[in-house]
Amino acid sequence: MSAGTPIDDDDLHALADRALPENRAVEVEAHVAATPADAARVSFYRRLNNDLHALFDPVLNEPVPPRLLATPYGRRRSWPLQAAAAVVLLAVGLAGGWFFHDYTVQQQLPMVAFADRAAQAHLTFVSENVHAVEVPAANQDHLQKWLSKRLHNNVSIPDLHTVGYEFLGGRLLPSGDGVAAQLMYQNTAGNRVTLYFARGADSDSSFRFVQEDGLSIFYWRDASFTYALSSEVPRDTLEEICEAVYSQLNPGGPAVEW
Amino acid sequence: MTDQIPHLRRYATALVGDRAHADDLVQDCLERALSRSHLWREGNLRGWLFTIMHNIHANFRRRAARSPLTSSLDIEGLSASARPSQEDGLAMAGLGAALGALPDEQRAVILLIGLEEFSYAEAAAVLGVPIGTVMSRLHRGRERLRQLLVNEGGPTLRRVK
Repeated sequence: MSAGTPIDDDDLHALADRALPENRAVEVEAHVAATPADAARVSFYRRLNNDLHALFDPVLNEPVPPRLLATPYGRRRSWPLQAAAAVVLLAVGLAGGWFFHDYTVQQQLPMVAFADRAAQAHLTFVSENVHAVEVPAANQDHLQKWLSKRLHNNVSIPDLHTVGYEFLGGRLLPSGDGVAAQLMYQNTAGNRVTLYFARGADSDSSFRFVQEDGLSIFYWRDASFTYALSSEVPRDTLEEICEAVYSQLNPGGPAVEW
Repeated sequence: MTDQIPHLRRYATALVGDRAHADDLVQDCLERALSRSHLWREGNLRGWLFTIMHNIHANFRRRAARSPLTSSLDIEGLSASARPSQEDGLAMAGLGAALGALPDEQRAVILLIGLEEFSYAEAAAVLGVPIGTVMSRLHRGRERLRQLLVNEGGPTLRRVK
């Protein structure tokens, strides 16, 4: 736009929206400064934008209703977490430019299947009293060696006393083509948390969260394993526990970014 | 995509006014995005999601064949603690009501640009209209709000009933 182009309504809106190139903005500012009626308009447009933010930005900080995390494929509800995780993983897939075709959810999304298995394992064993774990905490060294051997990688068992959870023990589980481990923890209120992990899964390493029917799961991966931390505690609480787990599994690693 | 859900909810809330209806709209949008994800190409995921949501909303409005929203926006549904006081800026209840009084197409443009901060070209792409149309809707919508919210001849704000 060359200097001297007449200033029209579009320029006034673009000035308020900071959409003008710098040289044009200077011209329009000068015009507005000399034209009170237009100054009032630009001032109103700016205030309107600010007030729209003031009025509606609180929505950004609200928790997302679970139903929005569990939407895909005709509201199929046979296993809600799988659907919830599908939404989460779609972001990963799309971000990586990974295009979907006519595969099933399980085939497309290895991490979805993973979160699904972790949830099922959690729900299966967390309600057990006598048989909650296969190898109790008293035999922690044995458990650690056994799991390391069966998972073909060095397993470490996080200590969660700092966040109020005592280690109960763990077990080995079938998982897809291979095996997975589940470690269980409990606090004095009787809340239980499980850490489920298995070898790799080709996905990104950032933390993902799903929540459905009161069960919250964070899942992520590092160089050794893919992990899912599951519990019925609120998300904030699980986040704290997750940070404790992550910092012990990755000493000196980067801080968790939520 | 989950990163976009709060933005989709914010826009939907401002667009349709009713919180439950807004979440229905977001839910429909996410479902359609998943079922059509093979159509997505590298680029602006946010723009693509907003385009889908706009199309669903436009279809809904056509089917409903209703005039512009008659009820004011559900401002009370917003979290009370985060709600600005009535004295801040434009009277907030007034702004919600005035937005609700606008034709859908003008409200959409005002929100895409002023709230979601899309460029004019991006807003045109989301709405499937030329930029000139975006500019004229923006102008008519904002001027209408100015009439509704600002007393004639003075900067004093009045509450819109």
